[in-house]
Amino acid sequence: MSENKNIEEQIKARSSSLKLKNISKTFPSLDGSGEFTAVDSINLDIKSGELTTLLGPSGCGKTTTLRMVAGFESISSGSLLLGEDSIESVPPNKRDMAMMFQSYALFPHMTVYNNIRYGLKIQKLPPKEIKERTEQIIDLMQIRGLENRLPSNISGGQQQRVALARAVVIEPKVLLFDEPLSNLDAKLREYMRDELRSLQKRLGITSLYVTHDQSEAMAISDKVVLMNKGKIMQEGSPKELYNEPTSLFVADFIGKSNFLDCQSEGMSQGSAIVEILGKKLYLPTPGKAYDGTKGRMTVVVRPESVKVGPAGKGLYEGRITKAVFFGNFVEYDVLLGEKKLRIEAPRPQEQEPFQVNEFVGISFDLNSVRLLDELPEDMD
Amino acid sequence: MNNRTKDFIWKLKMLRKEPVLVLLIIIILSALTIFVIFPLVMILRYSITTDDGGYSLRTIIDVVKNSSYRFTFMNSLKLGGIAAVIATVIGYIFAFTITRTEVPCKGFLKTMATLPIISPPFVLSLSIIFLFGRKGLITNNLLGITDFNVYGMHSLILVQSLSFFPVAYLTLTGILEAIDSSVEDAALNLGASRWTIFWTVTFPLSLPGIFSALLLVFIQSLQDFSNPAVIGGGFPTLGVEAYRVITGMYDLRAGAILSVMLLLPSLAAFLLQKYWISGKGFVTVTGKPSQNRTKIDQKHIVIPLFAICLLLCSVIILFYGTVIVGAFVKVWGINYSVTLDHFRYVFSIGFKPLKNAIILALAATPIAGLTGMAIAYLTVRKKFIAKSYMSLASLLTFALPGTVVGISYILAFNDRPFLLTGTAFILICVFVFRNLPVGIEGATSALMQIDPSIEEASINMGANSFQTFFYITLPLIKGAFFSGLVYSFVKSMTAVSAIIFLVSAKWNVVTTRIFSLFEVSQYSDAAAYIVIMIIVIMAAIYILSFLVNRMDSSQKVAKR
Repeated sequence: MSENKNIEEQIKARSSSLKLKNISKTFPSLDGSGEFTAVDSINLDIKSGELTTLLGPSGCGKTTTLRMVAGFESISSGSLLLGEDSIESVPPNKRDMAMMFQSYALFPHMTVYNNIRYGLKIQKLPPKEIKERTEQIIDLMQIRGLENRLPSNISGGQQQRVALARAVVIEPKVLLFDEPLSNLDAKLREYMRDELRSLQKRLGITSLYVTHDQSEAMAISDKVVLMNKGKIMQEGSPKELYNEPTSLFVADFIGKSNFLDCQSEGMSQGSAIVEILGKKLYLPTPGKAYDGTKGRMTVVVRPESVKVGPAGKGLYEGRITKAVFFGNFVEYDVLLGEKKLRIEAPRPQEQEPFQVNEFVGISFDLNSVRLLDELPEDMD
Repeated sequence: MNNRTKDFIWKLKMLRKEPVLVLLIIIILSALTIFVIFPLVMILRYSITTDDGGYSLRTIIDVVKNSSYRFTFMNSLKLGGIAAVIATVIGYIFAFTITRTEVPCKGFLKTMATLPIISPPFVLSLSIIFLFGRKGLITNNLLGITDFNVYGMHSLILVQSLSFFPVAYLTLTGILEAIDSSVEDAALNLGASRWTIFWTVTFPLSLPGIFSALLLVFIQSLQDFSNPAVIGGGFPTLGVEAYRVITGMYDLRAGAILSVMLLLPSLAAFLLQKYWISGKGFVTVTGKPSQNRTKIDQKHIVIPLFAICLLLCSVIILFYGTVIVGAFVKVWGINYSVTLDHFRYVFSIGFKPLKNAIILALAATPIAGLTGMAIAYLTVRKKFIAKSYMSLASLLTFALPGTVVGISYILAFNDRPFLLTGTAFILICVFVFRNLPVGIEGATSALMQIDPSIEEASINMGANSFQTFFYITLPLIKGAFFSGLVYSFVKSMTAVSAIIFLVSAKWNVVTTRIFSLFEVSQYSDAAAYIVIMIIVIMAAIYILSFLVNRMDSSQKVAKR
């Protein structure tokens, strides 16, 4: 443990902040006539030691952004600051960053040991230091005993550790992750995710992490940056993104949401007054994104914020069209007039779950309902 | 548009940070320009130049009007077409038997089906003379026929079909193996008989491969010089005619025009194969390991196929065996007593051309091998100006008949600024640039299958392009590297058509020496040369495979 101190301290000391200023990337469009903007004026400020996640659907520009930071793609416009230094014209092999690839990209013809020390050999460090650092990182990653194996002869989780060891052993200023967990099966993914996060915290290494999996992003990030179509939709802590979505896209992408059409009548005594499905409701916390305007808009109701009870007891009356028992909760689809609602009800202790075609009473936990000045049909 | 240029400028900037890489690109580009494009331009220009220096199509018209040259042209096409069909049929039978049926000694069949590729030239022609010539073992000694004419188209068809069917076999094996086995299994499962499956599934799916094979053999047949030169007899072909016109009548211009006539069909077939057929494949490579194929084991299918393969193998063995025996007998057809005289001759007064050939091949092989790998790496992974020019120029050499290369090198390098004729340097250049394509193609397809992020990881760890190439890329494509080296060595040792125009008294090589032995009917001396060439080639392959395999282990050793 004490001998690990050395390299851990080193990594912590070298970790640096990373700033993206108005970064854009355009590609020529497929027909060659015009161009296509993959990343559109992105601004990001990653503090030293923080883990920031770029989250978004495929094609949103998150991987392109990461590859621009690594130097594998050119930056069409904007600037990139590593600490105080502008690095957009520094070639990728001189950027002092290490990347973990989706496929791990371990060198298949080299042993685990040779894979890990590769970067150190390239730096032409004295053999003694190479050996010391490699040995330390092998202990830190708990991959002792695998040194002489080839990457094809170790398990997926072990490959992941070797890839991480290879990346951090060079003591990079920033660590980049390109969907590193997407090749693992569900159970191992969760385990490795936690391990990755605790190691990142322990080493205090600045990290930029790309994923399309929102639960992964929630689990490991200090800050989540949600992207869509090359733009940043919202950034904040996982909690902020879930509780205070500023757009329907965010509400839809982070967690599950029901979108209900409503008519807003503005604020009154700190509450927003809205009419939903013919009933007037007071929303005490309509959300930071709502500025008090009136008109047709959308309320966002999380499935766990819908309460379901016996018929007649509730704001609305609905009919159950689907009921799935998950153990810790029951998932219902309820038809409310024309509108289908997704509900997650906590596991019923005393009573039996409701049955399909049963009529039930529906009400909302009004504190968690958010109001957004946007209509679902505008979303695409 | 503005951004695209910006992106390009950025990439150039990144390149500029690696001056050695830029230098390498410049060297390769200029070498390709000087040794591939420049001679080609020279020969095309020369063929439309009149004797007094003006440009005119008159000389071309004269040659085309000449009925004997037209006849020669048609001969070449006819021979190419027939040889292509027969070689493809043989290649298909071998490929199908090996990939689809349950037969014994597959290793032996595979060896027999690839052996002629690494064979020295003249082997089959020589043994056909030994067996069926005027003093042939079969025609004269066994059957007592004295007036059988072994020279002519019939022999050429036989010899070329046997020499070039391996090309068809390799192409077709690739295609047949790439057909997803579940497609055929599905047909079997639906109740189709093996015969129906073959005609409704396997054959249609392998059609692109069949066309490819036909065109590739056609090109090989057109470019063949050694066989028509020694057993063509009264059946003139373009390559041989061009050589005769130049060496016998000193008419370089007519020779140049004849070789351009040879270039056109060859180039057309090459472009057709490369851009039309290869895009037409039905086979999609998924990279997913395919399950085991259910092999055909019904006796009524396997036995006839196996019998045909064995028959062809025994013909090949008979031909090679004849040459080996021929090297050890006193005077073939008259005195069959065993002697080592011919080997004594080779190792005494005849040793220099053999030594020259080995030296030149040894010099050219590493250059061709590494250049091929570098070109593949640069064109697949890097972005730079004139990239498509680089890949086109380097692959073009495959479509250029040796005759064209030989004549165009005379035209291009007989004068300042490139006064090179008669030197060893020019021969090495011919070997390097003619033998690039196989290594490039192999390395390109190997590179396409390697996840680029493996190389990116190396760059990300701080390595530059050179370190990445030597530590990561080259070891990963060492299979292609090895075949590039072997091909280059074998082809350098066995080249005839191009270098026959370029050898000098000082730099004479073994193949041209064998050719002149044919002209004076010293067949057993030729046989001795061929036996030694076979031994040299096998030794070279063995040593190369040892060296290439060491590439990995040297890294493991370096660990401690």
